[in-house]
Amino acid sequence: MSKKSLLTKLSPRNSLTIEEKDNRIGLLFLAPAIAVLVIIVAYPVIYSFTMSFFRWRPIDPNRPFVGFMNYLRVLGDERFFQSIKNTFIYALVGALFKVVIGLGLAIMMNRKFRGRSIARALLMLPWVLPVTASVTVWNWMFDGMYGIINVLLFRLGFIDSYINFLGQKGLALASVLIVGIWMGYPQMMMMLLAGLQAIPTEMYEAAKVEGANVIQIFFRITLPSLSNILQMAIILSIIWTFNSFNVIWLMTRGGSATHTMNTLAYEFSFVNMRYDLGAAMSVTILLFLAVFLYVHSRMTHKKEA
Amino acid sequence: MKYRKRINTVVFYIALIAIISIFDFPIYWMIKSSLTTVEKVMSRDVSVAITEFDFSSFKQVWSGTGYASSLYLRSYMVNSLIVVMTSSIISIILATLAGYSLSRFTYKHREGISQGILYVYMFPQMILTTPLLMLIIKLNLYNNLWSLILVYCTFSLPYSIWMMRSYFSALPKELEEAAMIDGCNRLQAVGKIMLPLALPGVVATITYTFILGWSNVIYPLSFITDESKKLVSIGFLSLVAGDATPWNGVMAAATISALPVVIVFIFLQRYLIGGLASGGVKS
Repeated sequence: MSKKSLLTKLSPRNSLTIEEKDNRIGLLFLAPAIAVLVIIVAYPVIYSFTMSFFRWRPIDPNRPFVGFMNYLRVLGDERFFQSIKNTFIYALVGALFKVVIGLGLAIMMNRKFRGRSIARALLMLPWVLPVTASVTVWNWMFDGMYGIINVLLFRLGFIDSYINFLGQKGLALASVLIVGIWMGYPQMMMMLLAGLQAIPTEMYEAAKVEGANVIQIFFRITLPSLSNILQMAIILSIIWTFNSFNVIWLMTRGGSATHTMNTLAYEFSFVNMRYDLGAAMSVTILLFLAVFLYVHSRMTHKKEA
Repeated sequence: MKYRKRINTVVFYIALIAIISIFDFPIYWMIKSSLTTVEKVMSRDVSVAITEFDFSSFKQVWSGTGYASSLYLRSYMVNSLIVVMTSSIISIILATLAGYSLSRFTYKHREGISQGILYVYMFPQMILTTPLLMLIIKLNLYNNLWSLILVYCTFSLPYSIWMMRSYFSALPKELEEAAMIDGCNRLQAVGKIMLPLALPGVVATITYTFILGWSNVIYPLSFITDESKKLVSIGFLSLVAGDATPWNGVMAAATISALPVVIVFIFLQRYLIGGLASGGVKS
């Protein structure tokens, strides 16, 4: 140790202070992770951005610069505005239901009762189940010939003939929304449960002593104490739902007017083999996402202040 | 008063059981359908109770015979295990170093880098898929499991860094300072003192990235066409064929594909719950 510090003092090259030297080690620790992220995230994003200004198809080596042509083409696609509308419906309605269901269940789970951890695990299962397993079982339940939902609705007399849930405009979007909400509520439940558990029990006891009822307690204590984490849950849920690709692609492939921006971009790139159009769509998605991320960053700053 | 409390409890349990039955019904229906014969599964039978235990669909999809003859479920499972575990482990190693660095040192732009890493985690995978495909082709990794191991880090690495950073921030600085006075260097201090203390966090993070990776659809869908290299998250989809779909077989394959994550979840959920609750929120 003493030898080392003596060397530090004597050697002219090591004129850094100990703290500065230490911070160099810190950067060294950080470097491998950053290098990987640059290769697999930053580089692809820049690549996508570049691609969107060229004519770029996988089989054609001729790739001239075309300016904003790809963007105009995407704008001119009849599904473009539909996909934006769907994305917002899907993200906002989806996030709303996930947060409301999550909050309700979190309040139930915040109570101490026998079997709580089993109940919590059972309520989290829809999130644990692999997406493909979830989607296929819902496809099976929605099936237009033998699906349980059709059979039940028919036997109960709600419908006269079987419905093709995933083949009809509107109904298809509602169906994928239900599946998305079903898969996403557990995350909100866990996040909000953590928030609820941070509220001191004294507050509830004091309110009870003063004769407040359940509804008053919810609006006067629970909701205000939870407001920060609730805002955060809402914006995170919107971002995650906004990004979602799996459910819609696996259930309808964007058919029956269910395309969101992400599935449409995938269709451009991997079905139509138009990487350039897919890239233009991706950049458009990023522009929207930037708004949400900005809101998120404002919230974190507010929380820290 | 005591009487009223008891009624309250009964009402609570009834509501709880009703809610759980509704939310877990699809999972129950998946298992029930998988245990049914083809004739019965297409019979529009709505009886909720499981009346038969027919494992023939499990046998067929597992051994790849009959309608499942084009299915390699066992290789899909092994491939998924290899990809998901390797990428989770690579991520946690890089993330331990990076998370420690972000929580302990005071270099420039530290907060900005942390925030940036969180935002990377919130990127839609769709945006990365096409350029990553070009990268994979350039690296000659198309139809190679290493391509998936690499790209799964796009979500497991930023998440792991963010979580490890917050776990390390919660540990007192004095511990590793004491270790360093006793002659440990930084790397030893992290490995011998900090990592064991952050072990619950490591377990939670790996569990989470394992579940996320097991579920991923877009990458294996785009980078693997070779039947023997497919992952279980998309592999059994080839059984779905419109009105001719053998739904009992599909449900059996879905049940098998869910088993590893459900088992991991059952054993490690107490670690996972803390991590899930703070994911992305804790700063």
